[in-house]
Amino acid sequence: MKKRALQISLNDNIAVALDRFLAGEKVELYNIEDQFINKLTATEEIKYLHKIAVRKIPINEAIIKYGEVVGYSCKDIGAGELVHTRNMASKPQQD
Amino acid sequence: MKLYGFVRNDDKVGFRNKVLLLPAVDCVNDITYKIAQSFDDVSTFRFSTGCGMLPEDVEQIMHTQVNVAANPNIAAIVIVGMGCESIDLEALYERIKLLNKPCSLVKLHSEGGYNNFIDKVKRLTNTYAEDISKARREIVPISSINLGLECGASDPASGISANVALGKAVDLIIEMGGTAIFSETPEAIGTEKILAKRCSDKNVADKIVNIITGYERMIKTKTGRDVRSANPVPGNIKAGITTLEEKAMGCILKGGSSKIQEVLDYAELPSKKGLIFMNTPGFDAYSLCGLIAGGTQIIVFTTGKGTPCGTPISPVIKVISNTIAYNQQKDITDYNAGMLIDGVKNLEQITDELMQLIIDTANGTKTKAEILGVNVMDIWPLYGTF
Repeated sequence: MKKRALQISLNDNIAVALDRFLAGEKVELYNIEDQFINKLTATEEIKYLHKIAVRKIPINEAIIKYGEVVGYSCKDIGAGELVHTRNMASKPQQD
Repeated sequence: MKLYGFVRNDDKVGFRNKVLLLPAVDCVNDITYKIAQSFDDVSTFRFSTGCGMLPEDVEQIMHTQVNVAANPNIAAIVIVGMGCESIDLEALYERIKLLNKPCSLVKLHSEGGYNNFIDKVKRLTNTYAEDISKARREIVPISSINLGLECGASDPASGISANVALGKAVDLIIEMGGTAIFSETPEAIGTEKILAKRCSDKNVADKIVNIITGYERMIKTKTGRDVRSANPVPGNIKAGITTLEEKAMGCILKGGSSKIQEVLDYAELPSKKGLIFMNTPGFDAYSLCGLIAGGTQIIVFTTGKGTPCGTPISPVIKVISNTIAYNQQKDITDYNAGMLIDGVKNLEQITDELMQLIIDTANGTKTKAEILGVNVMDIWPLYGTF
């Protein structure tokens, strides 16, 4: 069966894993209307309901979920990486 | 989708038809419970304070009691008190009489003993129960729905299934001229800027920001703690939620995408239709009571883990976010939105089924909490009793 992730809003840069993914596994991206959007590869383990970057997110860029800013990247994040406490925070990094 | 309700004297529409035994203080709660249980369609609720209270709380209790009595699911009211409680019973009675519903006041201290008091409450309840059963449902428009929105025992799936589907259903009800009230101020901390953008004008936006930031300050004053440091809780982080903003967004999704037309203080009646925000605590008993005072005749409660919550006045439809929890909590859960995550049904199907469930419940189908007789509701005191 296809393993899916949900990109809730069109301009979200993360998707929510609807399955557990291992490094190297294919992720089928769907929107909330259940339409196929794209494919990408998980570059590390992504647990069920955790966030996966759907494109490159440079440091201090807004993390968008539900079409709204829910935090900022505190490291450069590659497409297919896990987005969580290690590389995301409420506020941008101060120089 | 035909909707049938009880049209009241003030043209408001009820979807249940009940006598309310309104407790004026906790000391009479035991007897209102026992009497309510011995009749059909007679409701009461746990009012855990009512004595030794400051003037701010006396007013909070009074306006909440009046507005709970005004809920269109209530057809007649017996106010049950001692005669020595913090609120002025005669003043409460005068305010409730203005609702133009059958209403009586019974005071223990005026009835010559406990048994006489109980007999009088029972006789009045019996008469009202006979009278109100003559009311008949008639066809009413969808715009007469005032839907309460609540969540509790949430998980990360709530924000991608149950709350998304409920948001879509709320959008439909509001498009058809209805009203929906969402609440639980502490759960909205972190989303004040997002909510402000979604308000109908600047006054509404300022009020929502003031209420949310005021609530955050109140927690800081009372406890010396920063609420943001406590949230998301470790369980949320383990489940995949990273920031407070992310958690709060998942929660406010249940209000859908309409503009917020009005921001209410606790237990106030809305003066507008459409999407409304009410200032309430996150604690379900207080929040549900506020929603009922706000005139909501039906409440949809989204949950991740499952909750038994119901109220004695407005039916509470429980929508769970994931199939694993649904299979464990079927006897307290009315709908499984987890089918969306499983890919079994799409968002349109889930939204349609949820709308149908709201209409069926309005028309009289009992919720799981009604069948089980679960009664979770209390008035939020600002300071409590001393």
